[in-house]
Amino acid sequence: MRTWKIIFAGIKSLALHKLRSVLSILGIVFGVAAVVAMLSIGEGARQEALEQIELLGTNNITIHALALTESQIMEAKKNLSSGLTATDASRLVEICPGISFIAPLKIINIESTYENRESLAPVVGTTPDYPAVRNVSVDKGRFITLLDIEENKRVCVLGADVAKTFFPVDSPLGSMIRLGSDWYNVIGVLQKKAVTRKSRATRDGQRATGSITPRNINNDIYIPLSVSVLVSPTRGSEIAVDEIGIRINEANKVQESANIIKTILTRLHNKVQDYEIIVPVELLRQSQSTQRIFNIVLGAIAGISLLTGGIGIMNIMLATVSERTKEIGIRAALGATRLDILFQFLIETLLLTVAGGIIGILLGIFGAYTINIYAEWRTVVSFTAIIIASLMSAIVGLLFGLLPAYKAARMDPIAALRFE
Amino acid sequence: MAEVHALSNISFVVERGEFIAIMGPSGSGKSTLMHILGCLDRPTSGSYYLDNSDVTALSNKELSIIRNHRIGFVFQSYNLIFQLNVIENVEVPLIYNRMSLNYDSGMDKCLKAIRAVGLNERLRHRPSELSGGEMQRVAIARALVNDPLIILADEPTGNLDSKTGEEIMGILKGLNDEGRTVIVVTHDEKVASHANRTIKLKDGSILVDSRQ
Repeated sequence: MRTWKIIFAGIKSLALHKLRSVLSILGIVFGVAAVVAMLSIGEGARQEALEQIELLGTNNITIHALALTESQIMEAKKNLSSGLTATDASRLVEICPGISFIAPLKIINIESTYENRESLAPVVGTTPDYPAVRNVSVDKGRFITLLDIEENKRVCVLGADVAKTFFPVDSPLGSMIRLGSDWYNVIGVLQKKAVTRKSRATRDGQRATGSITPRNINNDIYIPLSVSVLVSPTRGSEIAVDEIGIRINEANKVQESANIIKTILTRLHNKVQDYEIIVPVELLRQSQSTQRIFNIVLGAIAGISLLTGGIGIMNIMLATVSERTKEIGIRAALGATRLDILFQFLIETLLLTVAGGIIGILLGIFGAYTINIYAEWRTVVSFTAIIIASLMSAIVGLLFGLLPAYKAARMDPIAALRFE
Repeated sequence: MAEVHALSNISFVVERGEFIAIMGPSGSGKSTLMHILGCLDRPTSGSYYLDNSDVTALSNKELSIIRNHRIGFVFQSYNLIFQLNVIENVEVPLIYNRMSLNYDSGMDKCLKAIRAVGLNERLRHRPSELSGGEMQRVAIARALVNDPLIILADEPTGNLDSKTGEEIMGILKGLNDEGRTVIVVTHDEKVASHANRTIKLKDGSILVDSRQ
């Protein structure tokens, strides 16, 4: 009951100076709000990156062909590199251990039509390993086989979304669709695979350099690699490809294999950087270390804002203590011990910072929500963020409340009673 | 620099139930004596026995507890806490009472003390809404709430007109009649006339100690 009385008296004293109390906690409010909002942005970014990396497959390594500038092409020719080719893929299988599946992709931009329906779905030439590389199974029919490739068969396998566009009702198997100027027999449909918002937006094969967004497998039309070469011939004898997907059999060998692949490709391409290697595991590590840096910067900013907030509150409380010297004297005369006085002013500071913390958390949650709506960043208000924010506001209260409370408790009751 | 002693060679015994007036010009050591009797200060030498036990060497915390349980203060300038209303002001000593009370019996004690000073109607008023006499009544009620051995009043009528001052002295006299020890510090002969013993101080020593 005593504690409640003291807390109640604290609320009463604070309510006496409403404007002052509100102004004094603004620093804490914004500090805590910033912490909550930024932690939410960080958590959202982390989850998004994690999802994308998981979608790429942590067992996977992807090699992209890079578009070269005119001068780079000259340089490449001089060094006898013919870009990323199907030969690279076959050499990698021969030399690098641990590769379970490998599939080169050749992306050709041709129109596809079925009856009166048209689609801009990318047409991708590949090999039988591709579903295994991307860990997707065939929903209906079958995937491209070695025989299809050897015999240059005009067959195609549809991604789930494409299949839906062309064949909303009946089964696509056995139907003939037109890709560019040729007719292809639909032999299979792939299972639908979850994709992130970003890769859903990637409609064609183009992608920004360094992007870790995986292909939207649901929106591709797959044909035998050999056929795609016939449709879109490349200069020279090599089969130029846009991408090589690789799946490593053991998760803990991925980094090792990636290093070997890098070495092999450097040699095969005579040190010309006309490709990039994306290792999701590596990206995961990078994103984790970026996250760590982000957290440190965030922590520093939050610390500084809470520090200034705390100093503001301490200032107000010091003023309050000297303003209420007489009250302290009275309470001491009536039997309050030094600890009672210390407790009273500490409670008042704590009430201020905790109130500031609560308002700050609410404001932070609102801020995170607003950022999500208007900036379309994913924000996740985690329980941890709220706990951290609450703890910090309480710690600030204790830390910065201690000096004013100590000053109050140390007063000589006789001198305090004489104070006017 | 020579030490200045506000009081020296002071020795007297107060019996339970006495009504004592301590008088003297300013600088005579009245306030210091009052602070020592009220356990707000300690003598540099000598001892003070309260209720037959030596309290001279007690710690700050122990003195606080004694002030709370045994002593009721009444000040010249009332010394109410201005943000609290009448009941809450009277309740303050109960908050610091180590013997835990539940809310209801605490409330009863407050109301009983307020009734004893004849101030039943203004329970929720702030001190700023009360007259000087009413404020001093609240202060007396506050002094009574923990049922103390001694009421120590420091110029209780100093800020009041003579009529109201008489009323306040009447209340203190009434408390004395109920058996409580009352010590009043004053320089007003009329106030002192209510007491049955007068101690006059001069330059830190007792000049006269007379019983009526």
